[in-house]
Amino acid sequence: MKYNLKDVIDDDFAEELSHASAAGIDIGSRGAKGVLINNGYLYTVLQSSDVSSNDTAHKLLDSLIREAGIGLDDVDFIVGTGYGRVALNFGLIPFKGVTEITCHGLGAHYMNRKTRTIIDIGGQDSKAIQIDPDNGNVVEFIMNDKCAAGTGRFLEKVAQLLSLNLDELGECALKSTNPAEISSQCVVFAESEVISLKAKGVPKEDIAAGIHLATARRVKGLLRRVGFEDEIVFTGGVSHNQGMVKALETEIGNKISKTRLDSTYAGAFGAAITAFHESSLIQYAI
Amino acid sequence: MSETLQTSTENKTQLDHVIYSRDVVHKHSKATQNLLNLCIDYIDYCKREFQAGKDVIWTMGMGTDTAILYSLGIIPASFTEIGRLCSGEAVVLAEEFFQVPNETCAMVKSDLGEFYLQRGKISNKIFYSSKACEPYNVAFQLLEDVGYDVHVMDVGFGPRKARRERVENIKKHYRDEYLKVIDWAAPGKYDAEKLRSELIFYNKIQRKIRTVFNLRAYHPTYIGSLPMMLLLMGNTHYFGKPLEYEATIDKLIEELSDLKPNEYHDEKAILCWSGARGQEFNIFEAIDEAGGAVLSWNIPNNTVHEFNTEIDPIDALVDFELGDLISGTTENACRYILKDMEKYGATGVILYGYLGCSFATIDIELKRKYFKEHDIPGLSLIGSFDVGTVTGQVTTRVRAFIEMLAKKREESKIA
Repeated sequence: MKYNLKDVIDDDFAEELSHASAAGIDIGSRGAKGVLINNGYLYTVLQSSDVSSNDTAHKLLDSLIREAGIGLDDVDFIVGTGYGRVALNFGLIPFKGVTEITCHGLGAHYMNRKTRTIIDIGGQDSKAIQIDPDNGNVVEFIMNDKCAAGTGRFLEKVAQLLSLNLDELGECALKSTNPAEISSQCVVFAESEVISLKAKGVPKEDIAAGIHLATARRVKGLLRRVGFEDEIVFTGGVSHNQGMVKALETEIGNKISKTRLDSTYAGAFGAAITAFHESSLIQYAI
Repeated sequence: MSETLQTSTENKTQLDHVIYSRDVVHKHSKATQNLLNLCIDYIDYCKREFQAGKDVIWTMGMGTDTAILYSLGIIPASFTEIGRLCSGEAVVLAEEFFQVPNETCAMVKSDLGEFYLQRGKISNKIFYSSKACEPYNVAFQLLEDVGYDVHVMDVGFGPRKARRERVENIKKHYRDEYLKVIDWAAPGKYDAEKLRSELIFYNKIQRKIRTVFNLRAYHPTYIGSLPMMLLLMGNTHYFGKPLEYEATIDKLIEELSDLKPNEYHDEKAILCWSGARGQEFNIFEAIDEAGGAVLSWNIPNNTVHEFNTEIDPIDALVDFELGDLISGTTENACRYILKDMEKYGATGVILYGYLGCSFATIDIELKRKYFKEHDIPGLSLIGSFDVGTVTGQVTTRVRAFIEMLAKKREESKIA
């Protein structure tokens, strides 16, 4: 996708990034995202993560430069993020790996400079990040990776049990009038609970809503730990799921801020911004 | 086990990481390599010595236990170190054969399984001071059933504001317990002067380690965080070889003293490590590679306390135990950590505990709260004693934390 930069990012930063030519590649456990900032435009691309992180990254980059109509040499710097960042190599193009926590913070800040808190729910973990609204720097963060509950994988598993795909799961939850009580916070036991609820004839919508609320409760625990304030931005692959947005708003009692750029790209966008900052340092040094 | 590892990602066991650190990361420092060799050989050495007919006793490896054993001519083998041998099989055995719940501390499970696997090949005598944790008590009871001779020393804690009479009772209890240990380990062999010599040696070693710490503060990248942690871990048992350990420290002091000013002083995020000693050794690699350096340490092995060598040596052991930092409250420990962090200019603290350790996980949270109130960023890590490399998420946390501290440092520079 191609966007005019000033249409999708915070007005305060459009000028700063207007001369950038930098890419961010976010290789997540399930989905891989790429963002290219070039000549006042922002390009995005999304695909599933292949077995080889490096192959995935090159595919993303190829799509981005093709869309932008530029050559690889025109990209000043690339930053890789996400769990697959360690395996990336772009030959002669300057490259750096930066954690997704830092990148999501910066990306969300440039999408909306008032952002204070970020909820990132990805395929294999969920995170709560607090950032400094003055500069987008991470102030505190916490990750849940001990258990699949509270992650995209958990929702994917439940969707399978309900014979839905992941997108349908969120839509289905929105139709619920009486969310089921899911007491377990463990994906293994929650699976048994879902099967048991199905057997009792509880409507699919109510089970789906109950699962989203259970996941939201887990995320709320993370948020309590880092402290949360408006504006809250929801990032990561699960941020597309409207059922999850509603469940989070219900549980935490705050509205999730809307961003003009799809917040799934927050990590890749933050990586592209970091790449731009790094390329500026190189130019300054030269 | 491979002795020629080329990349950190190929490392499979904790010991592999130590070998990698020796062969790849610390090629430039003979002293560090010596230290890592001591560590690599420790458990095998204890096994060889036992098989050659020497007395070896498994112990927790803290200052008081090891001093007693050395004074009796016994090699102390630290049972927390046997986990480094741990194979996946050890943990499975603990869970399936001994029926230890999955949620139980990973350190206890790996030790339990490994002791079972090594039975008959290693010394069967285990001395355990019950101050560490209840799961170990249970684990050692289970080991008695498979042929181990376990002596548990019952301990007490000395409340600071207790009446004199109560303190005296606790001290008497401790004295009696130490005498029972000696009677169990080597009846009739107690020699007060030998024990005093051990206490004097211990004090000397701690001073030398403190010198290494102070010198390293000027050259944080000369020795990585992992060897420093291992240096501390050996501060009581000396990896079974007291004189070689001392010579290694002397060599480290010499190497560090010979460095030119700022020769190994890249800009680093200076960190404090607090809590368990950590067996996922590539966390330390992740810290160093991400641009961090642990200079301030707060682990069960501390170099601050020394024995009073002017009094009866058993009384000195008792006083040492009652004044031990790990028996104080979390807040007392935090005050000490804060001072140490100031000394080394540490700007963040990594709080580490083992999965399933109910004590450490709560202690970590209390410490995190304390440091947050003092505006010091803290990172809580719950690690495992299991075999295998650290998951990507743990590395991500460490790196993100160091990135956060680096940005903070840049901001304060600009300010």
